Amino acid sequence: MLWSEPWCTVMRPERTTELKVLFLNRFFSNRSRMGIAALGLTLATGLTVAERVLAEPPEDALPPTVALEAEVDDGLATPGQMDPKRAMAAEIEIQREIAEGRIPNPDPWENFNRRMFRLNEQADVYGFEPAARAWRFITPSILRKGIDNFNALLLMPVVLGNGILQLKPLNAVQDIARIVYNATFGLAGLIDVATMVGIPQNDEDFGQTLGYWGVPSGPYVVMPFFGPSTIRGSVGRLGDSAGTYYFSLLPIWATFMVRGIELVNLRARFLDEFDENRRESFDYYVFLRDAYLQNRRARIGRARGENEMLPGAGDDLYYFDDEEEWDMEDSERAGDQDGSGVQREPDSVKSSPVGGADDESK
Amino acid sequence: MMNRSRSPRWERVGFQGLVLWTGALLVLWCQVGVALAARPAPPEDPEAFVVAPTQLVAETLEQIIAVLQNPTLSAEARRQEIEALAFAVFDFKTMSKLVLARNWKKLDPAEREEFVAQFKIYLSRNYGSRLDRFRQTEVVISGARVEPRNDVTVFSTVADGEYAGVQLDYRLRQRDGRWRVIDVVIEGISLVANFRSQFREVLSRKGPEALIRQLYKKNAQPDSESSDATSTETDS
Repeated sequence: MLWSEPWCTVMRPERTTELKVLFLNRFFSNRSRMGIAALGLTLATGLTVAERVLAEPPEDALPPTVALEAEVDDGLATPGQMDPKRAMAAEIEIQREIAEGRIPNPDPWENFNRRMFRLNEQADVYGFEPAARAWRFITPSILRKGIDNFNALLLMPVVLGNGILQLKPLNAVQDIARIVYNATFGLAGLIDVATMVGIPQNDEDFGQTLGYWGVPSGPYVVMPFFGPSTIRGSVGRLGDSAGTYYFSLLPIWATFMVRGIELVNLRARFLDEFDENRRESFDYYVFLRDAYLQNRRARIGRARGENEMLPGAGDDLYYFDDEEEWDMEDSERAGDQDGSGVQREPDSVKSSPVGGADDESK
Repeated sequence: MMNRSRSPRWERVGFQGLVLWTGALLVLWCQVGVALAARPAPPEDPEAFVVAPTQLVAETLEQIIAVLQNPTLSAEARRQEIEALAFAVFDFKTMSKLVLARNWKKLDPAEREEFVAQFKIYLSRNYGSRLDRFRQTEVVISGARVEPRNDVTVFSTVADGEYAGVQLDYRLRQRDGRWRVIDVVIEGISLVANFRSQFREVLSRKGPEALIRQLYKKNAQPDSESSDATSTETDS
């Protein structure tokens, strides 16, 4: 499907990272895990509340120039590579928008996150990706597909549990049917019989359950080796690892082997997509962050039964109060010399964009 | 006498009245015009309103899938045909504006034109070339919705293949009587929103010239198709 692909595969790397967390069974007992989850949850809500309280802007918030200076001090802006005046103007505008709350800043810990992101990229480029290429070279695609299906079955308890936590009886029935079908007719999960029969694959995790019950996502975090997440998402992962508790019953080498194969297998499935996304994005970090956040928001929206498939920005995304103004600006610039106020007339607004731009280019 | 003394008075009043009335009407008309331009009234019959854009999406999808499944075409020809379809259906100027948002104002007109042209090439190259993996896909349109200010979103779902269940939404806007796509939302990930943040990042760090330069550079990269072909060759 046109346009679909780069974006829909974005959500799959995220799935790889969800798998990685299942290793956590090895390192935390059930009880300590619950403790950590509870701690994280309190921390997350505390943080978001604090953030909201602190972010309540005083009526006369920082003037934009002050914000800009702070930004430069952070070393975030890299002056010198551009026409300083224009970059300055752009920066001021963005700072003002953030200050006014028109763009809520989803990523207050960007410095840390970018560092972690770089680390993960290194790990992928030198570790996972070569392994995945080798894996794809030596295995037939049918085996890889089988492993994917098997892995999906292993994760079903998580899906089922979260379906129940979100009070969705229909989903629960579907999930149980899927487990039964695939575990028996599907030869222990190697063949996805359920999909052939027409049982949909639901997609739930504890992060979504938390979102479903209204827990705010908290700031965006890139976890070392676990990839993009939010505070809520990380807590959700810990919670989900309870759903695959059976893994800690295996000897440790077996866990590592099974998990390792599954991860590499999944990574092998998206080799080209990762490449393309990396090559084509203008800022891969921002690309992944936004894709992750938007996708999560949409999934939680769907879980709550909202038909809200659009990124929450809604009106902000598609309209600007000054849209007419942009069009007008072309004509204003064209007719700058006489400085008359004719542009206010509605039909000159309508006719201006084309004509104005043409005049300008001559 | 009376007549003569009255008539100028009448005329005067009439003239003033005329001026006042036309003035008032003009003001009213302007305001109505501005209000209409800003927020058109919602359609009376949303279901009928939605028919045209839905049909446009359905037809385009059909055509694209037909091209993809046509075995007689070479990869290059396929891509060109799909590009032609996309060029007709997407409103690249509006997309560029939405993607740049407030930064649009910071580009001067020459830069704007350059940006629109390059962004168009960028999108068609990078996304057009990926299509070859999607031969046996079926997309089902599941509904449509009227958005504020009379945009329309058409919802669709991939019915089979590897990406079964993936949700694709298209947002369309009518301009000059033509419906055209202004955003594609895949699994909640909006093309416009995603590019907007990426471009904002580049713009705030390096400025508009750098952004356009970067676009040129990406467009000048060796064709992604050929590099894909080599990578799959070595892998499998």
